[in-house]
Amino acid sequence: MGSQERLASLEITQDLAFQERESLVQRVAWCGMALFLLAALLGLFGSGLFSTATLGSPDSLTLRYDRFGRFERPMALHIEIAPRYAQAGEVELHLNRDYQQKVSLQSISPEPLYVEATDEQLIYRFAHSNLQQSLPVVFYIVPEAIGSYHGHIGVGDDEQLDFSQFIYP
Amino acid sequence: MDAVFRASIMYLFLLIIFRITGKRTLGQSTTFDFVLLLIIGEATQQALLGNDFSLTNAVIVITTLVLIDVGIAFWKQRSQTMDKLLDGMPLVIVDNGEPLKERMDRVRIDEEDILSAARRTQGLERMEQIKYAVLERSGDISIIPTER
Repeated sequence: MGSQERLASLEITQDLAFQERESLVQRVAWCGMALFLLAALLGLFGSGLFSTATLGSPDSLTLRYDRFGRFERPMALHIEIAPRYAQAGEVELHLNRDYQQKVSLQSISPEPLYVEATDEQLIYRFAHSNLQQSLPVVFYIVPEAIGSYHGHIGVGDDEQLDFSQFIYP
Repeated sequence: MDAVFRASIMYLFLLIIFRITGKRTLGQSTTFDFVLLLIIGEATQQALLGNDFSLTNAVIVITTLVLIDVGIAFWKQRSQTMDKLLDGMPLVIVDNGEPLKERMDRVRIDEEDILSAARRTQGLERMEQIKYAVLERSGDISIIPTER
């Protein structure tokens, strides 16, 4: 219990050893809180310096996404598809179903011409007539599960990007 | 189930954060402290309720918070260690008109805070008129004047 002190005329019980330990714990906790805020500023909990990642290459397929997100907080997948993937004015993009089952899809920009569902993925077909420029596609999503997400996005059969995200409560 | 977890986690988080920031953090209710408490309350409310503003959710959240509070009060009553851990201990910071500097530094109190409490609660003018000043578990400073 530590050393206890009772002052003669004052009916009070103090524990100075406990006070000292408490003070030490508080100082350690303040350092912990400062480190926590630093990690938040760096993007460890989403929307910070290191939270955004980019995959792929501009001459094929690129994906910009958040490594860390938060439950029910909107986020986006920014995709750019190189013009060489356009066939007859259309581009096909596929995204795995496991990923999409964990999110609520709010909107897609531009809107796809049609969507086809297979066992493992959803295939989106977009209009793309300008063969000089890549096609930017944005999926606006809201995470509806906490934990790790694993996504596979691709165009055609050979170009595929795998990405992972972590969603905080 | 989700509401019970949210409420429990927020209760424990608030309990820990206010405990580790020290007695004096919001012990003095200045206008700014009051505004800060309102902001903390607003941020807490969003985390507690999420997107569910239903009556059922509010009832579950309030029941959870009250029940945890009753449980912890019961636990503190039964265990002296828990009582000490959660509420801390009182600390004498002035002994016979002598400010105990080391203790005051540890709990982030200066002589002005003590003199302010002495003026406010006892109408005292000087440090030597204070027999004991005690930092209470609530974060308030109690003043016992010297006998005249």
